[in-house]
This record gives sequence, C-alpha cells and structure tokens, in this order.
Amino acid sequence: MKATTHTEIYRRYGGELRSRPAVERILGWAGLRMAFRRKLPALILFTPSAITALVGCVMVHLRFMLAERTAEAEGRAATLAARGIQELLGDTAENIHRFIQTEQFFALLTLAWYGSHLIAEDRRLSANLLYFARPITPLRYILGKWLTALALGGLTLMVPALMICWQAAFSSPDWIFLKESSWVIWRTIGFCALWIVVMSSLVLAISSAFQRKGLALMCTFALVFLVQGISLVIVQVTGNPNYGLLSLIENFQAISEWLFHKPNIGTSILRQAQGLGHQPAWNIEGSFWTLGLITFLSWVVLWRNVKRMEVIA
Amino acid sequence: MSEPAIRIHDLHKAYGSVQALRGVTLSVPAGPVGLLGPNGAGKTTLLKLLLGMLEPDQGQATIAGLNPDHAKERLGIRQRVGYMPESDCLIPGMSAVELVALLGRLTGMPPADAMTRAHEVLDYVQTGEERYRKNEEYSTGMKQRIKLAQALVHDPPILLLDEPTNGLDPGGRNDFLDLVSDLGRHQGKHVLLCTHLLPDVERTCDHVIVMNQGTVVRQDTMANLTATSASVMRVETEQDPEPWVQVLTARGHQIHSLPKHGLLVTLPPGTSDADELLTLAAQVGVTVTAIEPQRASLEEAFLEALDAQGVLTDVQDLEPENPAGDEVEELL
Repeated sequence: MKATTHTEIYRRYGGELRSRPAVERILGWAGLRMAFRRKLPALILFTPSAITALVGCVMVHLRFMLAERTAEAEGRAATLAARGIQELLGDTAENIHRFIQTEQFFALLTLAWYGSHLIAEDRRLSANLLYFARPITPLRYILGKWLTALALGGLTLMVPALMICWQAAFSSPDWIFLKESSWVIWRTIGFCALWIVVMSSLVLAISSAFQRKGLALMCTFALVFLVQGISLVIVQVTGNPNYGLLSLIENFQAISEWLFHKPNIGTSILRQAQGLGHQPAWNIEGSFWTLGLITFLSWVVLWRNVKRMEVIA
Repeated sequence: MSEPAIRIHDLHKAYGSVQALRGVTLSVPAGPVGLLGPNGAGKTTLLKLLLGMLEPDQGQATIAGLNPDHAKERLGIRQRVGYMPESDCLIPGMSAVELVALLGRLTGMPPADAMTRAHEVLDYVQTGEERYRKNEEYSTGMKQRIKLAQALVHDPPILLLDEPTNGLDPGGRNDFLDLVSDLGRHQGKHVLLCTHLLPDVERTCDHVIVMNQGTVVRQDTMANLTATSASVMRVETEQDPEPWVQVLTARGHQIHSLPKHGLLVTLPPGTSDADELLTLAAQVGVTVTAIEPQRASLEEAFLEALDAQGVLTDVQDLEPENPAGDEVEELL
C-alpha cells in the first residue's frame, strides 16, 4: 500500500483573494522573466545593444575630454588635432541621434523575437484557457503582454540611449550638457517612447494573429522591411516621395531628424534615390499621423483577437 | 438538500451548422457529479459556457449563483471556480511551481501566499521534487496532476474537470481518481467531472448526468442508476446446472449462462420471490452456492438512456482510452 504522508493532505486556503489583482504587472513581469530564462537568445540579442551603448558612451566622453584639452592646449598643432578629432566625433546630439538610428535595428530584432511569441504561444498551447479561467479581462491581458514588450523595447533602446545622456551629463565640464542641451534628453526619451509604443503594439498585434511564433516573426519583418522596399519602388515608379509615408523606417527617420535637427547619418535609401539629400520628403505631421494610425490599427487587431481568445461568440 | 451549484435552463449553442447544445436544462447538485457522454456530446462546450468562455445562442446558466453572460459576474465566477482544461495547455519554460503560483497570483492571491499555496497543492497532487522541472519535460500523468493543482490553487468551492484521466496509465489513473474522489467526497468540493469513461464516474461520483448529441438524456443519483433489480438474480451452483435450467425455462424464467456454473436468472413478470428457485434446484438435485439480486452497471443505465433517446452509440465511443482494460465488461 502506498504510504500517505502529511504532505498529501488537502489544506484549505485561509487568506483572502484580492478583488482586483494587479494582473497587468504580474503578467508583464512573468513575461519578462520568461524572456531572460533562455540565455543564448538573450546573449545574442542584448550584446550588440550593450556594445553600441558602450561605444556611444566612450565617444561622448572622448568628445568632452577633447573639448577640455583643446581649451587647455598651448601649441597650434595640438589645438588643431584635438579640434579635428572633436569634429570627427560630432556633438552629443549627433552621437545620440546616430546611436538611436543604429540601435533601432537591434531593438527591432529583440522586440520581434520575444514579442512574436507573447500571444502566439498562448494561442498555440491553449494557455488562454488557463488565463481566462481566472478573473482576467481581455484588456488587462493585453496590457500585461504589452508591458513585457514595452520593457523589452525599453531595455534595448531607451535605457542605452539614456546611458549615453547620463555619460554626457557627467563628462561635460560644469554640467554644460545639462545646462545647454537638456532638450536632447527629453527628445531622446520622446523618440524612444514613440518607437517602443508603435513597434510593441505592432509586434503584439501580429503575434495575436498567428499560432506559430515563426510565422509571427516573419510577418513582423515582412511588414517592416518588405513595406520599406515596396514604398521605395512606388516612389520610384510614381515619382511621388509621399509614398515613403508607407514605410515605418522612413517615418521614424523623418521624426528623429526633425527632433534632433540632424540629417540622418546614412540618409535613407528612399531619399538618396530621390536625390532629396537631407531634406524631409514630406510634412512631419504626416509621419505622426501614419504612426498613430498603425498603432490604432494594431490595437484594433489585438483587441479583436484577444477578445476571441476569451469568449468565442 | 443543499442548493444546486449549477443551474442551466434551455441552453443552446451552435458552431456554424453543428448544434453542440440543444436546449440543455439541468440542476447540478452539490458534491461530486459526473457529466457523462460520448465524444461530441457537448460536455466541453457546456463547461466553457459555464466559465463564460463561450456565449450561448439561447438560454442561460448560473454557477455559484452568478451568470457567466455578464462580464462582471463572469470574473466572480472565475474566482469561485477551478477549471482543469482537457488540452495540454501548460506554458513551456516555466516549472510547475512557478506556473501554479503565477495562476494563483492572477486569481488574487498575494505573492507569498501564492507560492506557499502552490507547494501545498502540488504536494496534494503528489508531484514531489519534479515540480521544479520545466513544464515541457513532464509526462502526461504529471501534466494532468499539475493541471489539477492549478485548478485547486485558489481553493475554489467548485471544480470543473474536463477529461482529467485522458492519457493516464492504470496506476496514474487510479491515483488521480483517488484525488478526485477525495476532493468531492471529503473536501466538500462541488466537482463536475466531465468524461466519457464510465468507470471514472462510477468510482468518483454520487450523481450522474448523461449527455448525448447536445441534450441531457438522463440525470440521477448513482444509487438510483445502479439500483438492484429484484427481477434478475445472479446464481452460482456447485454442479452442472443444466437440469435446473430446463425446469426453470419450462416455468417461464429467462436464463443466461455465466462462466463457472453461474447463471443470470430473470424471473417471470409479477414474480419477485427467489424461494421458488431454491425449491426447484433442490428438487433436481442442484446445490446453489450463491444467490443475489443482480446490480445494474452504469453502462447498462447509460445505454438504456441512449436507447430511450433512440440513439445507438457504439460502446467503443464510451471508453476508447480506458487503459485499465475492459472494466465496463467486468461490471456486467
């Protein structure tokens, strides 16, 4: 006969259940923990981000250090050399702008990789039966998943960008960066927040439409890069640069240039093709409206799909 | 008698052209109740309707006094009900203890309570140290135990178990049924056990609801369904009973032979006295070693209910995954 121990006795729960548990926070944190559970993808996806941030910090530090040296330099040759390197390194705003342009790609990879499975996996495994057997509304479920996506986007884009700002603040003599260029910090936060909100909404919407993570991942990249290519072709064929508004990448580039008053480092393929150089191809409001529309549509898709996961009419 | 845990009135649900439920009306009493029916009878649909995971086309249901059609009441139901889904829905990458604690927190438990409670229920379902392994590494039996643990984590008064013994080996199935039986009979849970395995219901439930093709075919207590029949006697003899069989047949008794000198004797209509059988046996020199009224099996009651509905159901549909062997036949 099987031995029965004290551990096999059913015990009543003596506590009280909260009427409105912080479902979003619990789901968001659980998603983030799960993301970092697998070491290899985390290493591959976050290392480039970290390296880029490190390089950005070093460049900003060097720039301020050389500025100090230039002021102190006595010889003409030394002054000229320091100025030359300084120009090569660019100013802080330019460095941050350059960093954001590069970092967007890594952030997109990370967000797409982790975000594409957030809802698709629940659908494939019918884990929604576990979640929606709990007092969870579809909106709170979406917010929970969105928090995970926001955190991942924040870790790969906003945190490294703010690290560079932090470095600039501490490396600048007499806090000159904070006194004269604090707008760079606010605009960095603004741009990163915009990018993260739009891209995380899009990635989650795509994830909610598929039951396979791989398909959701492919669809995300197709939407970003394929649409970029298609918009380029349409602009070439029609000669109307406004079709560039179809591309997410072009819109983000236009907004970052507008925010930082800086020409884009590589200048987009689209504008190179159009011979537009560093000039914005369209009114910046158009980019905001486009991104707003993409976010709105993403949430409509997300809501519709998640609602169907909870209640099948 | 205590208040029914679940009330359903004229519930209809169709998936496109397929009518899953056709006007189901029933009251599920307190205690362990078996929802029995062949595959496609509408059992899982009924459970999902009760949790508000499906919207009915017509009719209404209340569970724990709350209506799952109302969004706010639906959330209340989900705090009072523990649901064990049929599908393999455990989230990979998490360990059992993490998953159960997470679901406890999502139901409203404070973090420390959820973790303590997760360990308690995992102890109860006897997962041992395996609770720390990843969900994707578990055997089917272990997954079923974890699914039961997550349904129990917030200590709900009502448990909806959807095909809980699917895919279990005989030993695991026995252990699992012990847990279900304990929950229903000793822990005061209102268990609605949804299954197509007759022995599971027979072993764990006090009340049975038989469903077929989206309707409730029969609902009664297990005692009534398997009541002894005064007109059918199970008899065993020491010698070859052939002379006795001839006499009984001549007097209008119906005889079915059983192995090892056993007989199933159906008394003629209007007769309920077994004394005559013994007298006749003594007259022909046959020694009766055992005689008792024949108890109806749940399968007989089930088939009778389907027969009354005019539906012929293949017995294979009732027990395709019975790993313990042909227990239904043993019961006959």
